[in-house]
Amino acid sequence: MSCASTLLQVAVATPLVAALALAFSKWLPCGAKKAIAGVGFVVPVLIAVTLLCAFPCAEKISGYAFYSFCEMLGVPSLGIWLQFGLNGISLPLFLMAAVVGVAAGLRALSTKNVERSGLYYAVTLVMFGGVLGVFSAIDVFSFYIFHEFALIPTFVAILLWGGYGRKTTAITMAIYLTLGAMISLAGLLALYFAGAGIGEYGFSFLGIAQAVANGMVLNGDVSVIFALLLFGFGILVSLFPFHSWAPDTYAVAPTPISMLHAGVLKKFGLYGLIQLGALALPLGLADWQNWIIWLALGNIVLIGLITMTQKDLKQMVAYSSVMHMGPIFLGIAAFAISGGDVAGLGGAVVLMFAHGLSVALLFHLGQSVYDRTGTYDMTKMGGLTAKVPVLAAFFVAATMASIGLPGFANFWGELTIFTSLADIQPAWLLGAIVLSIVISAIYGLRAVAKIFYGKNTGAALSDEAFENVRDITVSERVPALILFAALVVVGFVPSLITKNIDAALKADFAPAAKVFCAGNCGAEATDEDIIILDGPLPVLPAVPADNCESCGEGKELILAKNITVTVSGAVEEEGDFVLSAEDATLLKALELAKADSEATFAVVLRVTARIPVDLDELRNGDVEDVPLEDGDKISVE
Amino acid sequence: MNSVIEFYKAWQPGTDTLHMCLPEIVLGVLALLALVFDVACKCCGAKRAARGFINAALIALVICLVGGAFPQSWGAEPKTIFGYSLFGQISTPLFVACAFLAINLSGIVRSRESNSEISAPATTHLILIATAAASLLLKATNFVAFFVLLETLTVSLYALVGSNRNSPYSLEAGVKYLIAGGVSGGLMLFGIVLLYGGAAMAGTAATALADPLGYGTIASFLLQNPDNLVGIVGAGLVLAGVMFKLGVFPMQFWIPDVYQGAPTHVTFFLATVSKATGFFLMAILLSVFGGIWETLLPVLLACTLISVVYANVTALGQRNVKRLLGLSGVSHAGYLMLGLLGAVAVAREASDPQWIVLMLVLVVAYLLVYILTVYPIFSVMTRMPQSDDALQSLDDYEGLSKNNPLFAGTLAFALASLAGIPPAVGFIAKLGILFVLFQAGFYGTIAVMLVCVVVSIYYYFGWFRAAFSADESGKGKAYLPTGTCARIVLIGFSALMILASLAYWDVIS
Amino acid sequence: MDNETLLRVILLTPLVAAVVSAFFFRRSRVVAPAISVTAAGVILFASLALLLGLDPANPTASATLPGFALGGFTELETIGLSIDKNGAAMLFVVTFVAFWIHVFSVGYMDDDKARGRFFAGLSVFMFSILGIILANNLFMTFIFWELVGFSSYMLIAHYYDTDYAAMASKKAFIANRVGDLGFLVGIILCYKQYGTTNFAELGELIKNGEMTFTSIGLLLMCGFLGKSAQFPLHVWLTDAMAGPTPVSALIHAATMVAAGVFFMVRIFFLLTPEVLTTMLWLCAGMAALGGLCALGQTDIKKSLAYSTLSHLGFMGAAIGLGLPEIALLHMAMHAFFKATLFLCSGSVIHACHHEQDMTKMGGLLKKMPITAAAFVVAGLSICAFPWFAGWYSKDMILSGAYLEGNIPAFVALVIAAIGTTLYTGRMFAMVFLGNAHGHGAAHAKESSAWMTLPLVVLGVIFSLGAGWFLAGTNGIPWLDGKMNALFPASATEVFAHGYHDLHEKLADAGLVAPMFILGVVILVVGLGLAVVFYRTSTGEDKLREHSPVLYKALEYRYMDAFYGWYIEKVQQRVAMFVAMLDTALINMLAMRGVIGGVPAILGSVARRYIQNGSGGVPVFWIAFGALVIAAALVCGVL
Repeated sequence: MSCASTLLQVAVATPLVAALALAFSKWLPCGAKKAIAGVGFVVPVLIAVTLLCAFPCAEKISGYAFYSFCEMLGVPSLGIWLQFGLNGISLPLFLMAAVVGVAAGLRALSTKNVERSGLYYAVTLVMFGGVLGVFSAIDVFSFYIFHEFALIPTFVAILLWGGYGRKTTAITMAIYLTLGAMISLAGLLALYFAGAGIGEYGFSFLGIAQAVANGMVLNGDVSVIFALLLFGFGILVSLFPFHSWAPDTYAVAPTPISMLHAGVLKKFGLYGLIQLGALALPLGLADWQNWIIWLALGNIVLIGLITMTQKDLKQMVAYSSVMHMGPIFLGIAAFAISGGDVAGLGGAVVLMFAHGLSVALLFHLGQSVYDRTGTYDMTKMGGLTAKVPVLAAFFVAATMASIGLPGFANFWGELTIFTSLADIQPAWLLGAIVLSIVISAIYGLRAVAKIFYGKNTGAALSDEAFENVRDITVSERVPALILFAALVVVGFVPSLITKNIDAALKADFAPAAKVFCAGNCGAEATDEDIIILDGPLPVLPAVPADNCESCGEGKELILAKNITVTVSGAVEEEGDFVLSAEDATLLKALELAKADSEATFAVVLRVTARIPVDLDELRNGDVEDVPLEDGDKISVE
Repeated sequence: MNSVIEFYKAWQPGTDTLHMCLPEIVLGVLALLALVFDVACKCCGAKRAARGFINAALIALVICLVGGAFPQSWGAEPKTIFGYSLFGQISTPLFVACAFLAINLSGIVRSRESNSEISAPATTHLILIATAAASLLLKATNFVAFFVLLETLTVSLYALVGSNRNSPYSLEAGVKYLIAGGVSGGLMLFGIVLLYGGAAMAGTAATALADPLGYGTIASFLLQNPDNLVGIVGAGLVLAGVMFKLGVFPMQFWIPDVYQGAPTHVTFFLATVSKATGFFLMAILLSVFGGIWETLLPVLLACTLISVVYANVTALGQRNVKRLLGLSGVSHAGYLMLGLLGAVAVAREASDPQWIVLMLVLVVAYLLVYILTVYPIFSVMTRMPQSDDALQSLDDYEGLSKNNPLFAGTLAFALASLAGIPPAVGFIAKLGILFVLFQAGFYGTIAVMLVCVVVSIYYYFGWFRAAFSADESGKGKAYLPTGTCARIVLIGFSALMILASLAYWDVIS
Repeated sequence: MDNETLLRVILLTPLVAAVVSAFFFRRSRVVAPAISVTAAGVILFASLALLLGLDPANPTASATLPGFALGGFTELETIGLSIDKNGAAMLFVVTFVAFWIHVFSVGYMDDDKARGRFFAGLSVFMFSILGIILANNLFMTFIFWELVGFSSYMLIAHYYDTDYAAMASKKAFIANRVGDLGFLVGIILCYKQYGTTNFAELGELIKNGEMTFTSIGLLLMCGFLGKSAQFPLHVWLTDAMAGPTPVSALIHAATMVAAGVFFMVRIFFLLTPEVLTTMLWLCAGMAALGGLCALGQTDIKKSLAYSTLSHLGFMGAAIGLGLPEIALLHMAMHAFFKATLFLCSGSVIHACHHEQDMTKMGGLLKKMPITAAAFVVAGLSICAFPWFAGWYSKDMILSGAYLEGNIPAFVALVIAAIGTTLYTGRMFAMVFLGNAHGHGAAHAKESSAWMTLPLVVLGVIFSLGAGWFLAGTNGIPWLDGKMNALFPASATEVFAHGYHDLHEKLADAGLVAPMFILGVVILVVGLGLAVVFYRTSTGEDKLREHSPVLYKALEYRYMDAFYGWYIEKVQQRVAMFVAMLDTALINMLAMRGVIGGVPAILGSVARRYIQNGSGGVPVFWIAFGALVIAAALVCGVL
């Protein structure tokens, strides 16, 4: 295990250790408590940034860098043990979790007069550790347990430090989230028993990715498993009909907790759907895509309308975070709608990254507004810009980011998702979905106009109270700056995270993509069950055609396997190439890498063998072509 | 008639049967000693010393049992009344440990002025006798021994439940338990007689004569003619009797009243030893009645599911803590039964023994975790300030987190594990049960179980919420003094809740 | 420097200026304006250098910036910047007008305390408008489309403490967003249909036979309607006058609203005939409506806003008639004289201490001679006085409509032309003639050099002479070709080419003379009537005195009232209903019901019948249970 992978484990462990230290710190002076908590919050974000820089050159096992495992925690015989690792998709989310965590931490540290502050920091730290664990654990069960690990502090925090009406909200939330957790647990177990657990890496995203790569077809009822996952994660991620717990919870929970929960913990379900749903059960995704489209549409339009009616700022931000789940679900469904194009998934990951930051920033600033005006009711405020210009600037920036203005990371995610939804049937749905940019603009700007522009309505702040409102302090400005900087940096240079996402998606999801194209049998189904895809991707109608007779039901579907080969030396394009296993030969690889004609000598390096080849003989055919295997390295002189 | 007489003449207690019953004999001696000490030593100092001695002896017994000090001769041909059951190794130390904890709790319960009537020696004596009967029961291989020992266990429980003379609830509970126990005991006896008659009538192989009521004969009888009417009815009634002990659907109506009425340490004893005995007996009988498994399975499955659903839904409305615990005990008994049925179903098809053992171990582990989780809750309950045990309701827990954070912490961890919230060991145990059910293919049962777990969240969370909510009444609470060792025990248990989940799988495999 | 770095410099300088002045010099009074003006200057010189370097026949240059790619969506892999002949013209006009308006706003904003924020906003706007010009594919255009909307939102809300500005900025941004909605859907469908959104590639595809679709054309037109405030989405432009006057001049007269026209000209090859006819009807109607309603406003800026609406209608009509070059020509001319008119009104407002009501002004001719002179020249140019800038383009559109044989459109455009002359004359009379009616007007004095210099340059030189250069000077013997050096030939080529084509067509149809006479007649009638009617203005709007009903009609609050009604009654009601439905149905019924209701019922049943504490009940149930088991086992029912 290289030092980077231990760094990953350290990142996850620091907040938990700090929480443990704080839990028994009754006698520690307040300063020491804050110091420990501060270390717990800051260390992971530093590690996350170093990992981001080290990711491109880290050695990867089919896409997963910083891989590390400990057999002790788990049951090797059943294929379940704790494994850590980051791939292209989980790296940005891990970074977002760290950034939101440090912002929430600083907000927690700077809240004055909270009783039992030691416990308060400990609860936030435990949640932060759980959230980091969610995105770095690639073993499915520890991924699930880390999510619950992060869920318990939410209950406790709401009960102990919640706002108005916390008792009923705590109960409703407990019931809803446990129901969601139980259903998704059933789904995960069903996936496990459908044969996804075998293989060298056991029941983990890495194991599943490799299994899917070499054409594993699940022997369970794929669409039932996907349904369980969809509705289980749907409840956890407040998909339309199951969303009623989310707004109350975020409005009642203390700000750092709602920052972490709305910003990061909700992405657990979506991340799970991408890594497990779209990767391992593409046919399930194809069956249920209509459900996802209509429910996500409910999310966007109906919840959008409700957000517009909100008078309370925190409720409005909570409802808007529920609404933004709609486009992400559509991004996942777009993988099936567009017939295997991974742009939708990429857009979903980028939007998850950006939404986490922007909703955390909005909650943070909402709390600052509350500290100054004493109320969340927007209609009572007005004209705050005169007194708090910096807060106003940050709030306008956060609102602009959340409604998807270019220059912030959200826009790239939303744009890619909307583009990948082009083939949606019926066509007017695209209009209804893109309507989300108008709805979000309406409630976003209404909030800004009511709070910051116009005259002070005097309801919340009498004129002389309005006079001595001060602008945001340094301790409020730093988290806001961190979140804002992350949003803008990725907004202007999206390739920072999209390069990794794109590489991960293309590598892992290629076979799954083939299922969509072959699934709707555009290609002629060759009789010996191996469906090779060639030619442009036929358009998959959103309403999947009933299983057509030629390759429909009853036929065992074996996917064409593909291998990756690295070519280096005297070639125009160095690096690795993806070839389909059937016709992977040296000649094909050289012609792909456009080796220059007068190169005379090539060597195929393989773990088991080293094959020197004279290119001239090879070219004029008197030496038969060398078949290649996965992971071969060819050097041309 | 004469065959029975020959049988008794033939039966001479060989030395190996004595070896088998050694732990029970020690328990019997200790029970008698408890009475003798009470009579012999006058001043309270001596009494305390006597109690100390008994506790020390019990701990020593548990350690010897776990360490395997007692001779274990496997494979002895169980022609005598007692033989070795699969669970012998686990059940006896478990029962003795629970007895020790029950006696310990009775000490605390009696320190409250309203329970002064409960006589210490009698309680200890009865608990030890009941434990001896329970562990011996599991070694029985003959329906005669089975019935005699089961009745001794139930009778001693009658006395225990009614032991608090000046509290009307305790007496009422005792009477109810007596009636319910009596009826179910009668039904079970009727069942045994039917089985005996059926086996004799069918005239199976010669061994029947030698041991007419042995498990072996009954098992072979049911194996040969699975659709024999008398056999089926007999088996059903015997199972009903055992279900009374375990508290499964048709037989669990007495539980809330008796749990509420009985003094807290007796409720603990009922919830742990009596339920565990019922569980182990059910396992043994399911193997004995293997012949009619196809007819038995649907009936048992239906009863368990109804009991789980019934227990969870009625528990939602409960405000009284002990009734709540009783109903949650019923639902956990239901989960245990489901796990057991799943394990037996897998055992019947699966071939390799290692896999079958894993299934059974998973279910037994769930029982252990249940008992491990229930003890801290009971120890917190005994120390709560309310006047009468029976009337302890959720409102007494207001503001517990502010007044007594240790109790609140232990309660929180224990409730989390009881409810099955992930980081706690209860969740991992439930995961084991789910694992078994998935293997056995009972998908419908899994769905019902998951829904019930979610519903159970409501009343566990209600309790959790009461403990953590602000204390409106504002009156200071007079908790019973808790010694330092009691504090350490509580902290130890709550830590165990979390750490056990990490080591759970290694212990299993 | 080669074209590539020039393009990058042009695009990125304003962004750098905005960031620097927004973060570091927000408080300073001098540094922020200085940075912004120098940035505008740098852009002007860079674009002049670029345009002079290009060969007039085929002016193209391109550069790339790193973008991103996700799965199949590789359209933004490299962000391409490119210039073609339309782009060159637009670049020249925008940078030129913007520079002078920057200079003007230094003077205009001298008494404002938030200058840093204002000039940062102006620089962000420059970055976005240049982005639209240089974008080489639809997605890039959409990105900068939104950024332009955002910068106009920030600048309209510059006086954030007035409720009117808060409402106006919100309204402007949302109206733009509605337009962008259709625009984005159109882009996505176009991307799906053709596989690319690059203008050059689309051009080739269409040239060699690819089908064009009305649906895509109409959706892309939504972008135009939103940005250039045409019929359904025109309500925001008049309220956008809440922003400072330089903002109105730069954004809401010259450049941003013109960007919509520029975009439609650029994708002209995509538009099917049906799209063109709808555009013609919408824009011609808007031209007439705008022209008349300008008379019903007492606020000088609102009146100019309606005039902008009407002239945008003209440009849209030109495109609808199939004359994209003429539309571009009119856009350039309009940029010059409308910017001048706004700057004159700005100078007047500044002089009268932020008094915007024309009825309170009067008699400023003597007090503010330079502003008055610039106003006269620009006014004559807008009314298409022969050989002035406006004449070249406006009359061309009128004659183009007549040539097309489209009589109703021609009539609408003539009404608009008459309206223009009427409101310009009214404005001149009420502001400059008669005697001062308001306190501010009485003490007005000529503005500082900062404000008068741009007036002179834009007003006198360009409103007067721009037509000669942009439309090609060979029409006038003594100027033939001599002045071309001043203008980058590549910018003026597109206008000259379009102008002369139409001129030949008119010549063969023998329409040149009658059109000339028609123009002069409209001019004389309109101006004369207005000046005479409004000359003796008495501090109260003459039209309102004489016929309040007609005035009320022309004040034109109908569309606003309709939208207000829709927002208040329909949308809010639906939203409230859905919210109630959500809380009632899902929250109360489903959750509380299941949690609270069911256990209560079952609990009570259990308490009454099963657990009622009487000794007999458990025994009865146990016996009953045992028998049930036995029965079930016997008949194997389960």
